[in-house]
Amino acid sequence: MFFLVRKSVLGSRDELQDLDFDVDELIIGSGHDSTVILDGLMAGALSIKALSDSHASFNCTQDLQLIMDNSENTSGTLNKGEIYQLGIYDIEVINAPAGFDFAINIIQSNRKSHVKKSTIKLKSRKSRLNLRIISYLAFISIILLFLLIPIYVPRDSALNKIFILSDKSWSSGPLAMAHRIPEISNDCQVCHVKPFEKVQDQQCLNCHRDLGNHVAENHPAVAELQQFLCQNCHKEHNEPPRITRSDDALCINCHREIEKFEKNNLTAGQTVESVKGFNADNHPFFRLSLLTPYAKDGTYEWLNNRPKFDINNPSQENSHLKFSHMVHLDVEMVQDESTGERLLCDDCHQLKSDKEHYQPISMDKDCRSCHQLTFDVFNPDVELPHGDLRAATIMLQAHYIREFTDPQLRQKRARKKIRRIPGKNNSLASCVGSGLDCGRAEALKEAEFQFNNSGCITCHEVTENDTPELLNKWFVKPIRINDDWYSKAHFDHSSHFSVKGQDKEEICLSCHEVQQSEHSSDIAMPQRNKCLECHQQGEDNTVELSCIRCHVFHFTKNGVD
Amino acid sequence: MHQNLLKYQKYRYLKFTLLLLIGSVILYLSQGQAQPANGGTVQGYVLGTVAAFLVLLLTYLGIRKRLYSSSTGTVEGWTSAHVFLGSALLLIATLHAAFQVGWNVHTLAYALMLMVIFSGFFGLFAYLHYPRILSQNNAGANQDVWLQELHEIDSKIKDLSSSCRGNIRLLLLSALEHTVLGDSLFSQLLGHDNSTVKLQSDTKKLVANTNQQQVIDIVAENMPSSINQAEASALNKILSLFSRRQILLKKIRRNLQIKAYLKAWLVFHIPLSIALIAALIVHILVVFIYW
Repeated sequence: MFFLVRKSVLGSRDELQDLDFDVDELIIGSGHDSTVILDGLMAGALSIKALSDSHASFNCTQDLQLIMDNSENTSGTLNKGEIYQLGIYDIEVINAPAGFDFAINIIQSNRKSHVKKSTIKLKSRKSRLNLRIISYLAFISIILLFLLIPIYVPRDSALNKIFILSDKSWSSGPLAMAHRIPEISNDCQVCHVKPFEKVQDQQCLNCHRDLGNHVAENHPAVAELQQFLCQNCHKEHNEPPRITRSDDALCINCHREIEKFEKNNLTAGQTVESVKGFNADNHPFFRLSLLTPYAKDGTYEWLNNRPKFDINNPSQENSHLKFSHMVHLDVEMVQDESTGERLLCDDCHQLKSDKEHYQPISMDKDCRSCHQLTFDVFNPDVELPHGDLRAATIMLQAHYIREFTDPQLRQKRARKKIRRIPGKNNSLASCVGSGLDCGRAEALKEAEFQFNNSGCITCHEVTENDTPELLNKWFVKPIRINDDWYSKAHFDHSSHFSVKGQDKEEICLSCHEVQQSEHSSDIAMPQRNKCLECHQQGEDNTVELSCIRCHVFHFTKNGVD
Repeated sequence: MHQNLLKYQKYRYLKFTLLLLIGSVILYLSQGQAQPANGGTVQGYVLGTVAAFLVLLLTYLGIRKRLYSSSTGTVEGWTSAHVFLGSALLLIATLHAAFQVGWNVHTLAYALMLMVIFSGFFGLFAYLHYPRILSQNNAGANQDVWLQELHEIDSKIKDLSSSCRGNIRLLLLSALEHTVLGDSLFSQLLGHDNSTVKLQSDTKKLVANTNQQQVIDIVAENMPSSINQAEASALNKILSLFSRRQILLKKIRRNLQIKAYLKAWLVFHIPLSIALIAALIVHILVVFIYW
């Protein structure tokens, strides 16, 4: 069917445009699928199907309505000569010219549009959640997730296993290495028992049960020290994870006026020395920890005392050992067995794993390779046992009695020609008498030589009494070599072995000047001024040390008396 | 106006900020004796208190600028202080944290603070930079004029499309119908043109019509094969109109983009600021709950 549509251009009632369409159905609407496009009809459309040249049926879609005589219709019949309102347009059925089956006139009316003007519109989508709501949600979420849930959710619930929903997300820094065990790192409340209260000492002492005190329980400073919590010196969650204070104020705050803590604790003549730093003016001389032997109930014990340093009257060691460093370090007198060179310090002194102390000197380990305990020149492979006086004297007797009682041994001994050895007893080759008498006599002679001339007496202090019994005649004083000269301080030997231009031997001897030491009573421990050469506070080009680099707070036993 | 924001009262708040920063650095450097520098030392507490006070002061700008009757300084002064003190917060809070971060609520507060500050920096840049760009783009016109012109062009194209073949008409009307302006804030920020066009009536498929180029190309291709003079004439006019339309759409889109820049940072700045206050409350409370 041929439709003629006469339509105004750009809304003008004067300028009309004829449009012809060959369609079965004329569709008037805003959409692109319409036959006649009319702006402002939104998605609605009017479809017209011609019944004759003067009548047509119509149908409206969407909310579109055709109005005539105030009657709104969505379908019906269009009749020639009548005018219908379609939105802002007037549609008039006119005479169809020749060749057309139906004709209409579309004119934009003056009525105000009730639809949007343009198909183009700014589609600025407004967020469904405005900033205020987003802000409130963010606020509530954070309070809920990071504060309320960790507080109120039971500790054994699944939620608590999620890191951010547990109080572990409250941690302000890493735990110290020693505290990174599941019992602590998985349960903040092991230490943080009560909200808004500092960690109490008891929480520390629950684990650190055998912690040494700083002072003895009856020390007058106890009351002062009890004011401090463990937290005063030990702060957790530091980064780097350092848990102990290392500043000098930790010690100096009290030790600068130590006399006020020590009053009522000093006997007549006793003095205390304050410390304000590590230099000649502010730090006292070091006090040696001396071991003093004393006899108690038939045995020897060793008392530890720390006399004040007196430069005019240096302390002496009383270890009961006879030893000369000077001799052993003189290459003319003692040489290394394998190299023939002078002995080195670490031939005898081996550092312990604590890097501060040395392994104890022992006869078997350090001396026997040069100082065999042979005694009978006829039997140079036989040695006395070491460390047991009774065993040694019994062996002496047994050896010589056997030598002179067994006929074969006696003959063999008598025939043997031996070279005399300086420093050794000239044992009898043969004897007239019973084997028992000869053996006893020779054992006594050898014992007298060992304890009075050369042998045991070379290294040991020996006392003799009047008894004729061989087993009880001599007493070898026990040896106790001090291995902790500064018991209230610690020192890292290994870190001091790296000095430019010096080998280890030179470094040892630069602090422990034993080259001229003839007696074991000489104490070759460096004093304060030796340390100050490198560590004097306030000087340029020195390695300054804090107090706790050398001192500890918790002593292993009862602390300072 | 924007320059005055920074130069307010001869850089009053810049000077104050510099003094604050110097003091903060000195305070920070005085740590490290008793324990490593961190928020739990005396100095750390002081720096943290200053930082927390600054956060509240900076947030108060949002309230102060709505208190039109307030005489507590000028909004311009508050904004100037907001910029400088907000920048100072970056260093003060970092010193408070002693450069330490971790997976915890404290770093959450710090991270939120960084996001707030850097979104603020972008906002400052936008306010200093984009108004000039916007006026250059407008060149004496404004968006309403362009939209009106666009409307008229669209009407004319619709009228002219009646003289075209069905498939061309479909194309033209579809291009008008599916031209998109605005859309989401994200699209506006990127200046994306999400316009589409339906090429065939028997399909629902829409193809991209970025900058109307697709429809312009098709119209130009079909001009030589016009079915009659009326269609040829109409297509010629339509091509001109679409070219004009293309220009208008670009201008409007750029305009929307610049305006989006000017407001987009606030979408982050405001909610993050509120989140920061929440994280700050949690940060302070949990420190003292687990003292």
